[in-house]
Amino acid sequence: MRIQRIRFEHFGGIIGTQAPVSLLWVDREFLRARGFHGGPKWEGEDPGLLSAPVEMEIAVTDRCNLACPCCYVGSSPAGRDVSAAAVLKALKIASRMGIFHVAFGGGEPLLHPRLLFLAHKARGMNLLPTLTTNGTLVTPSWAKRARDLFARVNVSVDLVGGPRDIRATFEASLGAVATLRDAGVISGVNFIVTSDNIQRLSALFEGARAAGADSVLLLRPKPSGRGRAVYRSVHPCAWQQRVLLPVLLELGDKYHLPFHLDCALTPLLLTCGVSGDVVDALGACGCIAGDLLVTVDVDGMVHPCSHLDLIVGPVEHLPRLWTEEGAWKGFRRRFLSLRDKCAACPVREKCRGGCAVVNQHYGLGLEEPDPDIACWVPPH
Amino acid sequence: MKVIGGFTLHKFQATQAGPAGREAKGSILSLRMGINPNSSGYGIIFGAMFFLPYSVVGSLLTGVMASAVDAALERYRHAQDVAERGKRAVVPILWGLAWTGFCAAWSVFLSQILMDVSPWLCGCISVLVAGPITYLAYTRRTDRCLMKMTGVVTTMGLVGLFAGVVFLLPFLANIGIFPGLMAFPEFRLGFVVMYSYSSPLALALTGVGLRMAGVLRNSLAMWLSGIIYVVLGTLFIIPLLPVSPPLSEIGYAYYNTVGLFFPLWGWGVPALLSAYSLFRLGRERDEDPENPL
Repeated sequence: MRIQRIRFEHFGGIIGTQAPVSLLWVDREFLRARGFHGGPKWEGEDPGLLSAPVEMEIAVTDRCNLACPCCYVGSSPAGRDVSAAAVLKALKIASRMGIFHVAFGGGEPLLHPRLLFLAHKARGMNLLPTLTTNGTLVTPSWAKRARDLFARVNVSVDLVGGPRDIRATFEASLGAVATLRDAGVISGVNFIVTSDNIQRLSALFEGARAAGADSVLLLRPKPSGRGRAVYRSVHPCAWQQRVLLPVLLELGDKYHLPFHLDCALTPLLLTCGVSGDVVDALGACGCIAGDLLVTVDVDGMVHPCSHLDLIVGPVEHLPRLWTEEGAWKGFRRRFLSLRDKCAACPVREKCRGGCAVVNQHYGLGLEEPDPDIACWVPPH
Repeated sequence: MKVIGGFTLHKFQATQAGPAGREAKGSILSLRMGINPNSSGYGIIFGAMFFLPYSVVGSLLTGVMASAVDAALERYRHAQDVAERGKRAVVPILWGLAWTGFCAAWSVFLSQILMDVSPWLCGCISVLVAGPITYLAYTRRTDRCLMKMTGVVTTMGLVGLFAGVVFLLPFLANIGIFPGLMAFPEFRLGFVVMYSYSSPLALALTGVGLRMAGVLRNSLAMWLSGIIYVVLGTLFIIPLLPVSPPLSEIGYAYYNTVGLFFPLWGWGVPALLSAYSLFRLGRERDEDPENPL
């Protein structure tokens, strides 16, 4: 194990590690006993807020060689790349703020001509870069060069009939995973769970395992970008949500393949009866937009989450904006304002009311629960 | 249990031995294994582990992670100490080099413009200016702000040293050590080059110092004053403008009133302001060690 960096916080600090990658929240005593002191951050009143996000997602391009019908950002081949200088500016700010992880996204980030240079720079700034790609541009030589740069590369995989462009076949995407594995890149697969493809999860796990993926990340469809048009038709229905977790657990055991759920699917754990304490102990959580995560779009504007329209401000002002509660327009600690059934729910801190993008889509206020999560938690 | 930024932090007691062999105290409040592939996959599930009782999960995490973290932290702390010591040593050295180069360049300039002043005297003045600033930097070598400043002026400082050495040659030529060099009047062109370099260097050394010490509150003010400083200085010093009345005609060039005294304000002001910044830096550090201004 190697320490990436320690960021002192009022409660103690966050320790970022590499090999294995992890983030440990520790108290002051833990650090003090090991010879570290947090200085001024350990003095004064508790701000009730982390001093900075733990991760920043940076869109390096909005070009994409595919044009999937439910693309979250509406990318197409006609987009544009962000200049390397602009990305470097965001990276410098991330490093200065003590952010641990940066995720390069897009569009298809491999279309950016200086992607590897940017990843190299991120490493130089003590940031851990990750990447999400559609896999169509991954070649053995690229994978070899990416090996020491990215902490993880995930390939978006969709089964035929899923939301992704049908030209990008399941096998081709898994081929990219195999190429990455052969080059020694840690890679996994991303999979948007829809009402259509949920029955083919077994094929996904089997294929991912055979290709050498180390995990599967399951994502919920979100009504943003072009995805708005198909969202209602592809979103898993109530009974599909209910059976999802048991099915995933069974597949995970069968194929010995860990799986992650994205922030919008985490509420399903809780509605399926998983203890809130266990969810918390493993660091799983619902919506983290603006609390742990910020995203930077191709115009250099900060959003709490890449799917949300809310613009917080230009990335160069992020250190100041981070401490201005008003700039985040209620997205932070949203669970505190939840009403109706959620108001007294014992797991609302973990569930966090579901996905705010869905509320935005339906024109609902942030205090309303996500209407598309079928919740079976008994009311208190 | 504690809530930070909307997140509940649980305590897993860590009981491994600390770095000094004593019983280490403290707790791992929360743990996230892995890294988000696209910043939306927050959380991790290892099959049926999710249905283990909370106490068992907590013990597993603590047992697996805590001892490895202790060893890694020890290595990290050691590496950090070494790096910090190195950085602290660099601070006075670099500031000494930068100011020595800057002062060497200016001493040549002074001796060429004020012909009746002994070059040795100019050299002594240079050392007198560079010495206290270097000493001040030495006394403040652990100051985080100064270390940051040093990071900013590293390249400029080293280039400044180089420039100082280069322009020391005509200086040495003037005092007869290298008489052969006097055969090359082109060296005089070097004054303009020297000026155009040493002024931005003064800007870097002074401006960054003033910015960090909180005299200038924003970078724009720093750059604006620097640009004005350099442009005005250039206009005044280069004898292309009408010089009326020419107070000084020193053999080969004319200087107007302000230009005549430019060696004093163009050189002395950065030196005085840098010294002032370093004093102020020390005071601000005592008040708020985290404040970069």
